Amino acid sequence: MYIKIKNNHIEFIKSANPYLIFATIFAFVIGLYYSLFQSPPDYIQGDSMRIMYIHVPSAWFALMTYSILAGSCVLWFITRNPLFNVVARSIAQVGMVFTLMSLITGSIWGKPTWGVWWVWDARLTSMLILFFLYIAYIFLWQAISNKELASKISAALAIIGFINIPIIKFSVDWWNTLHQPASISKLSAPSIDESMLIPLFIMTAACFLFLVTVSLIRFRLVLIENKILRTSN
Amino acid sequence: MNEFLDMGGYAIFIWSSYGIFFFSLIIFFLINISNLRKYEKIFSKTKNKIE
Amino acid sequence: MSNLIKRDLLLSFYSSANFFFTVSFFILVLILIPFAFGTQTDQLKNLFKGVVWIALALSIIITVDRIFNADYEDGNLDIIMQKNKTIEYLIISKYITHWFIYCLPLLVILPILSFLFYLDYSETIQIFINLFIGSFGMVFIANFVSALTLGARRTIFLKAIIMIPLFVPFIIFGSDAGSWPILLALSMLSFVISIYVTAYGLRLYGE
Repeated sequence: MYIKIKNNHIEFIKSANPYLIFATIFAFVIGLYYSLFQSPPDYIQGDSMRIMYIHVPSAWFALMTYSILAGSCVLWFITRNPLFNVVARSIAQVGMVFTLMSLITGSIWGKPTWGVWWVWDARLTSMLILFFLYIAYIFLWQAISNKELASKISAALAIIGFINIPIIKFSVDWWNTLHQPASISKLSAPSIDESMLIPLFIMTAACFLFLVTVSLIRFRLVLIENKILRTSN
Repeated sequence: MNEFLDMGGYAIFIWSSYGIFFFSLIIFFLINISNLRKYEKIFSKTKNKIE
Repeated sequence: MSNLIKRDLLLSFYSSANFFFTVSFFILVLILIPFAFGTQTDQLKNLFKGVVWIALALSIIITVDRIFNADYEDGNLDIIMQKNKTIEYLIISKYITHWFIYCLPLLVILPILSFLFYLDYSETIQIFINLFIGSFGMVFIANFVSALTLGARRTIFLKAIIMIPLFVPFIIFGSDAGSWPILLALSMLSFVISIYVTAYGLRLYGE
């Protein structure tokens, strides 16, 4: 499973870049149109649930990106193919941005629905920890001067963080049953109406396109960075 | 139009979250693009030196 | 292995200020509770049970620079690694010495502190058991973080950012009196992961 990155691959990524940017902008414009104009306000929450259309995709992609990050770190350890390291490093910062966005939009959504900005519930707390795992991965790489070592070390940390996330989720669940009785009226979403599913779907697609576009730009960036490091050493 | 901007009384929450979301995505995108340009410049310089 | 333990313990005895500093730090963090929250007996009791974990976590974080760094910088680590094929002995001896030097004094001082905070006998014993088990797990985590960040610039903040998310489960279960079996399970899990990761990090830097 050894895939070598050739020059024509990079050329292909380069040539696809403007189309991807255009597609991302197009998808976001369509998604905005659907989520702000074309979807009805929620029966209980009113218009505030329109935040869901950006909150849910960013939370999904925050988690997905971390799984890809940890998965590619594992694959890198198994196959020793440097491509996986480049993938991990190019995708990490996008995931950090999505995590931060899901936290911010989530707490803005929480204020009108729960009446508070933040709830110490398992999902939110583990998202917050996930954000710090991203920070640890990115800044540990920057702190170690020997970059080859830095990649290995931060990859090990990413895998440990992946083990840590379910443990934290479980323990915060336990902690909630311990410290607070069910005082929070959590959102129960029994079935989402089709008219809300369409904008959600379009926004998810747009966020995915953004993820792909920026990670491919960062992919080129990381490759050039590697080359510069190699020549300067 | 005013009714649309008001968003059923949730104007601050919706517009601020949409604003923050798109603003930071655009900023993040621009940072990466400019970094790429910068690194490409540095790389072409080091390449010339070697050659 | 016993030689390694003896060497580390002797080194720390020569600079006995280390003990004194960590114990004083631990006490001072806990003494901040009444200053910050007032002196109501019930409140102090409840706060102490939680803040004692925060104090332990902080005092382990500030000692994380001392585990492998000195040996790494003066080259002792390379020598020990060349002599011993199985590096795990070195790691286990580091666990033991680190726990002896930086956690045992805190556990010894804990009963006195808990009487200052009006805790009764059984509560003190419960906290002591939880801290005893949890401190091992935290030491394991501190060791592998120390081994992984050997080559990083000396930033205690980065190490803290890496360690605190890993400490979260310990602090959650530690502040609950009855959940010591889960703490034990967490400590064992972190031992298994830690010994693997520490060896990996040391081998990377030792080469």
